[in-house]
Amino acid sequence: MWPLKPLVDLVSRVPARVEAKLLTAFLTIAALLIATGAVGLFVLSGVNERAVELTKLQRKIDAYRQVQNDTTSQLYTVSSALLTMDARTLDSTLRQLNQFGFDMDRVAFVAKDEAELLEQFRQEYDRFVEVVTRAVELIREGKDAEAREMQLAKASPIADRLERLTNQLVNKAEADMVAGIEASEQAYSTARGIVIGFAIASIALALLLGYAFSWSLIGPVKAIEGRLEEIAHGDFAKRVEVASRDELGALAANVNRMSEELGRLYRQLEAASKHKSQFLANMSHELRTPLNAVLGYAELILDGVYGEVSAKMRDVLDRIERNGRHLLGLVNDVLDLSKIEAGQLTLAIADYSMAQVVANVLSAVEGLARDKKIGLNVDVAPGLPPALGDERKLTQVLLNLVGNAIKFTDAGEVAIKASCADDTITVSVADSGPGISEADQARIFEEFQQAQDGSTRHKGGTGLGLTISKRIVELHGGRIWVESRLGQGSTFSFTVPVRPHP
Amino acid sequence: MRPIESRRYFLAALAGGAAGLIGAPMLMTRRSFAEEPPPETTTIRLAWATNICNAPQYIAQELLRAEGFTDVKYVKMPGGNQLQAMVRGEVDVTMLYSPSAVVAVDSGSPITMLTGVHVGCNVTFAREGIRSIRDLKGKKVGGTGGPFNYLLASMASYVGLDPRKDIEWVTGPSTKELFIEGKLDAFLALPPDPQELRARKVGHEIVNSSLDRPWSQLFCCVLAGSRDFVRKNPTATKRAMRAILKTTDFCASDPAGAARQVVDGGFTPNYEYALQMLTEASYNKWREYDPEDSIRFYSLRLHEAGLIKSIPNKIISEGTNWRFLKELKREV
Repeated sequence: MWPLKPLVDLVSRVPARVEAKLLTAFLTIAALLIATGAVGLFVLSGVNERAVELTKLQRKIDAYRQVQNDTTSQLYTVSSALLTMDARTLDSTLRQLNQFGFDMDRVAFVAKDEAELLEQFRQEYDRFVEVVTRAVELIREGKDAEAREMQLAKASPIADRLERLTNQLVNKAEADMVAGIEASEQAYSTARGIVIGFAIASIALALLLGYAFSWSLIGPVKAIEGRLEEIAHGDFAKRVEVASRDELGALAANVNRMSEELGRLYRQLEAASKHKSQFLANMSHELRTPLNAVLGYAELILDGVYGEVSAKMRDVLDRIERNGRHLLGLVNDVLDLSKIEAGQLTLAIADYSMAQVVANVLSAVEGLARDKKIGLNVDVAPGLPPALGDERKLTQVLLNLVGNAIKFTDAGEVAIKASCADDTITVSVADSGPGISEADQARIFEEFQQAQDGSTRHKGGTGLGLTISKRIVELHGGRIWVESRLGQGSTFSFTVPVRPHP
Repeated sequence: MRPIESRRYFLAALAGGAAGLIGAPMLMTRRSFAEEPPPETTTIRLAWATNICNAPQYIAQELLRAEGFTDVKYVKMPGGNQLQAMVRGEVDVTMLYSPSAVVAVDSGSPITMLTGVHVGCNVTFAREGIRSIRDLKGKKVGGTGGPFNYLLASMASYVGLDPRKDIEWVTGPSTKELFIEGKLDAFLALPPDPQELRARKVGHEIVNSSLDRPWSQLFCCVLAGSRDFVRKNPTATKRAMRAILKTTDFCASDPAGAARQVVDGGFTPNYEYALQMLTEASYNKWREYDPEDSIRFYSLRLHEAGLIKSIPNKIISEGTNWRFLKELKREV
């Protein structure tokens, strides 16, 4: 409804509260309904007036037809009476003629439009009565021939005129009736058009107002909702533009302020995080150099390069080397994590075999498992396809999972399983350890987070292994998860696509 | 009688007052000549049709010349009708059947009715067993015009028939022959057909408009002018009307003389038929009867029959002009 946008904008810009706008819309629609009803009543009143007018015209036609019939009857009676020349009949005819004059007065009330014609009729009628009266007198005087002559020469032409005049009265009344009916039909048609037009216009106006008012509310709400969604996705750069000068306009302004503030804080955090990662990467690198030197010299001493090493000293040197390697592992983990966060960790993608990865890990941890008297159960599905990925990093992931499983399992076994389906390799490591609570499951993949129980503290660890594993798996386009219940062991699984997307 | 003799007879009748009604109007005409401007046009075209009830316009040639029309033309239309000729602009003034003129005005034809001319020229004939118009229901009825004969349709409507549904109409130039051959149940005859049918004793009359009411009180024929001609030439229109109404008076006062003129003018070959028609039809009613009432009556009948859409008042307001008639009633 793009053409209505200016109207919506206009309503939006009205400096009034939402409730005032809604009230105005409802009142306007109510006013339109009332106006439509009023027009309908007005039109009905007009139609009623027409009906009354037509009734009057019908009464006039009836009255004139009565006059027409009575006139024809009178003229016939007079003609017959003059022919019979019977004295009693002639007296009766004269009385009837005079009486008919009174009857004529009765139609005067409906004959306003034909007053001239009616007056003409009255004059002709008076003349006719006069001629007939004279003819009757001649008959009474025995002058029949003269009476007949008078009837033919004078009475008959007047009778003809009277008849025509009554016909004219009826014709005029009928023509008026036809005109009245047509006028009534036209009035009805016009009235119907007015009512329909007004109703349509009212409905259209109501819809228009409804649309404008509702979109002046919905539009800003949708815009604000869309903006909030963008903010939720980390887009703090844009602004929501709402023209409303009501509560929604104020809300949009607050959303913009909030977005700006969040954006500022986010940028600060991002910068701080980068600085931290950079610092860790630098520090890790700086720590590894002297540490490697310490380890190297410890090994040289243990190897007897600098002379015989006593049993007591060897024990100390073993401890130095073991702790040094542990420290080196920690520093490497921190370095890996820092690289990942700094976006510097890249995969060396090449063909690899997951079966080989499992075999490598198995050979690395077999001794450890044997020392702890824990069984190692390996189930690699036959015919695993060669895959594309960073074999070393994936070995690191699996080694981390199996190492953790052995570390946290005091008795029982650790089972490694690898399979492939739908071009996705799934590897799982199940142990019979103490299990992980649901709360811990939700956070053990986060940095520096470990299960909150005594065993973890007892077993040690940096809490970075799973975080790094998770990042490596995700860099391959896969995912990692854990299924566990306290006291029932844990199963860590990860998937990687056979052919990761570039 | 040759035309020149006919003209002498006619002028002699006018000058000598043989017709009684002619002399006085001539004197008044002379006075009006002095008061009136000359006609806007000296040419006038009238219809020359087969119906001889148009006698007044046929024999008005000399009086039209006297009114200032130096070029009087009669446009022959064998088989055609005057109304179509007027609509086509071929004639300026002519007599028309009132119902046909009403239908023409309703359909928007540019004509203006000026005066009623005569009453009672038509007769409706029927076969044995048909005694009134009401008996025509479901019958084959013939007449001129088409698709209806509006005069007979008016009569049918007057007695409550629906002329469009209740009557099977056969119209065209040969309907008289069809009636004579017994192929039609009724036939509305226009002069000289009524006279011929009587002479040949074909059928019987169920309506004689010169005798039967209300038809005997209504103008069956009116004088009409082309709307354009009347508007542009009011003086010529009035002068033409005066000439034709005078000859109408002449037809009433001396039907024999008028019949002779019609025959001598070559408008019809049968003097007896012409005389019979001029004697029966009433040519002395144009002053007395109200033409507007006739038009109103026919409009009512045709409207109630659904043959016209316009209401009577509209037909009268758009298709008539009685101004000249009112003036001529005082003058002639």
